[in-house]
Amino acid sequence: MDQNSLVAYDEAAVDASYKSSKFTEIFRNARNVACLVENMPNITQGIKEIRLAQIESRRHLESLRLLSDRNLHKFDRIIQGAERRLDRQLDEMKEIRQVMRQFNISSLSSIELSIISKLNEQIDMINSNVMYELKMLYNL
Amino acid sequence: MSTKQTDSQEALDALNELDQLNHDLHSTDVPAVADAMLPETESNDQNVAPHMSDVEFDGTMSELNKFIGSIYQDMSEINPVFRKASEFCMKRADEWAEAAEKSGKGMDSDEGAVAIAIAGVGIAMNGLGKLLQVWEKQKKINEYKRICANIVKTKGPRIDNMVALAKRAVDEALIDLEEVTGQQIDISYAFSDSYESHLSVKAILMSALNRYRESQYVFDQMVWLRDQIAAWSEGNLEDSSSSYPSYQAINQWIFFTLHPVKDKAAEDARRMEIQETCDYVVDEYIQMVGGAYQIVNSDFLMSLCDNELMATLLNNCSENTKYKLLALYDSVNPQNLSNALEGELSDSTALTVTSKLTRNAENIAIQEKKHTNLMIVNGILLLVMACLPVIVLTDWAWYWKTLVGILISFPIVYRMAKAINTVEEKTKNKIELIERWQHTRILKMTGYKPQPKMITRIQNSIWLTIGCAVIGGIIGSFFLPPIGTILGVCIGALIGGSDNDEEESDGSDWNSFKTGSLSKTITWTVIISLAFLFELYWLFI
Repeated sequence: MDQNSLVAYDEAAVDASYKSSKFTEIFRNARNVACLVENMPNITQGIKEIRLAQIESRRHLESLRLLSDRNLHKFDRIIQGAERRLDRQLDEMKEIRQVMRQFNISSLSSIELSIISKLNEQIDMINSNVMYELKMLYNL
Repeated sequence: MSTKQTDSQEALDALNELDQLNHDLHSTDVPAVADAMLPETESNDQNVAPHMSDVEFDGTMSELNKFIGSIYQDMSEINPVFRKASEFCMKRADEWAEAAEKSGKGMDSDEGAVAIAIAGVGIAMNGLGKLLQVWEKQKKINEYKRICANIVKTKGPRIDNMVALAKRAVDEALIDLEEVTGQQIDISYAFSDSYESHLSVKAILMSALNRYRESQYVFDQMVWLRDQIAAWSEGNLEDSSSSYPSYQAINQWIFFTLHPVKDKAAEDARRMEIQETCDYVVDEYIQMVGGAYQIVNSDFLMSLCDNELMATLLNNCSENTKYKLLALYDSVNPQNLSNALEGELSDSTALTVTSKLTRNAENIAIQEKKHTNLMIVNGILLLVMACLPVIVLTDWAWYWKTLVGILISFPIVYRMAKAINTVEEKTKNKIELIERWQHTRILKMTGYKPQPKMITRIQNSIWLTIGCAVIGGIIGSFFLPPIGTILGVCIGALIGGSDNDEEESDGSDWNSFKTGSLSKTITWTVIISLAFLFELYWLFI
């Protein structure tokens, strides 16, 4: 397996993980929709950064898959790091979801509903990428 | 507009801008987007697949599946080649043996020696084919075992950790799903002029539903792989007791968790319970869409809005419930929706497919009734036309007239019954095929791909009909030419037949199954009626 690809994937995945940590920090302090609205510029910027970092990480992961057919013995090295990262990302996702769960659908105004549903969509995409990485690791 | 509203609107606009990011990520190269958004991000990406789909899960598991598939394909190809070669040799050997018999020297002749040699090759070919088959099979199994052993060695030690990670993801998704289900939701907005709020609530519900569905599927895949790895490490080819991940099972579980059956009793009673539950759910939909409730349980809203759950309902409900649901669907005019829930029904692919195919089947059944009625009219007219000259023109005793009448009636009645039977059979097969296709489509929407089954294709055989007419004409010519010839041709043509072909179908080709042309039968009704009028004129006026 190409050593550079392995390092590149490792760096990209750490970057994605670091950015999602910063994003979670913003969410951790949100107690109501007004807090989210107040921090929306930071939140949207955070989403952009995470998504792009995740795509970067995915790209390296996919290129690793193409190289991995003859080098399955390197799998162990990737997965050790990936496990730790996924573990942390799942924790962060859990925290974000906990914050989102505070908002009861029936008590929100029309515009708040729109904000929460849009935010949900974006967080789903981040979550989807985490799940994808989990699956891709077994594609190697 | 207050400051709070302005801030909210700005926040919403900022989130809407992210949709554009998603669009760009799907449609353009990532580096361009990355450069525009984040100048500090380094990326040389040329070929990014940013969205996850199930098709992409084509690694370890499908690699093995493809491998197993190739074994069976190779086996099926090897065997016929040697069997055909063997059959060819044996046939040639028979020809040489026949020549040897004709030469008078039997198998001691040169021809006999060639026959024995070729037969030997034929037998060897047959044996070699079988031998190769066993050898190839063993070789493939060894190769399969080698790949499995490699997976056990590299991925085996970590699989439990990965299953645990997937389990955490699914547990979290389940908490989200439980959080949004069971909530009492005000649906008065669905009946307002703007459906914006309905779409937001729907998006929140669908998001929780899809996240759970996806996480559960990944978890099931990991569990399946863990079970297989355990079996491989013990030297077995597979763990067949571990069920392969299926979206159908997940959708079934979700639907009957949202709408639980009351009694988890014996298996035979269970089916009835499931159908009664589905019926209750459809009754609730009817009330909801009709505007009877202002507050509804989110479970009903979720299953109404999700196509896979709607397909799960259709796959489990009784025929009566299905027709009740279709009646609700048909009552909706997509061009003039009176509320957002009607829009959800109208957009449901499961309902659209079921309704369309059910209507097709009903129309074909109505058409068949018309068709067979016309065929009966044609038969009766022909019968009267054939018997009338015997009754009117001859001065035979009544019993002779009766006897000749019966003789003439027999082929006409036989042919009429046969033709009606063929149309009925063809229609039955076509309707069965439509129902099969409907079932296949619905099952696919629930997440399951059914295997095609056999069906009989009945086709009118023009050559058989011509053959019977020629034979009938020749036989008739022996008795009373030319009248006997004509009568023989007519009777032969009437008796003519049809071919039956057995073929595999999932129902998608139902449109290519013909049931007989109604327009042709109408044309024949007109021709026979005119001929009958002409005969009446000729006999009586």
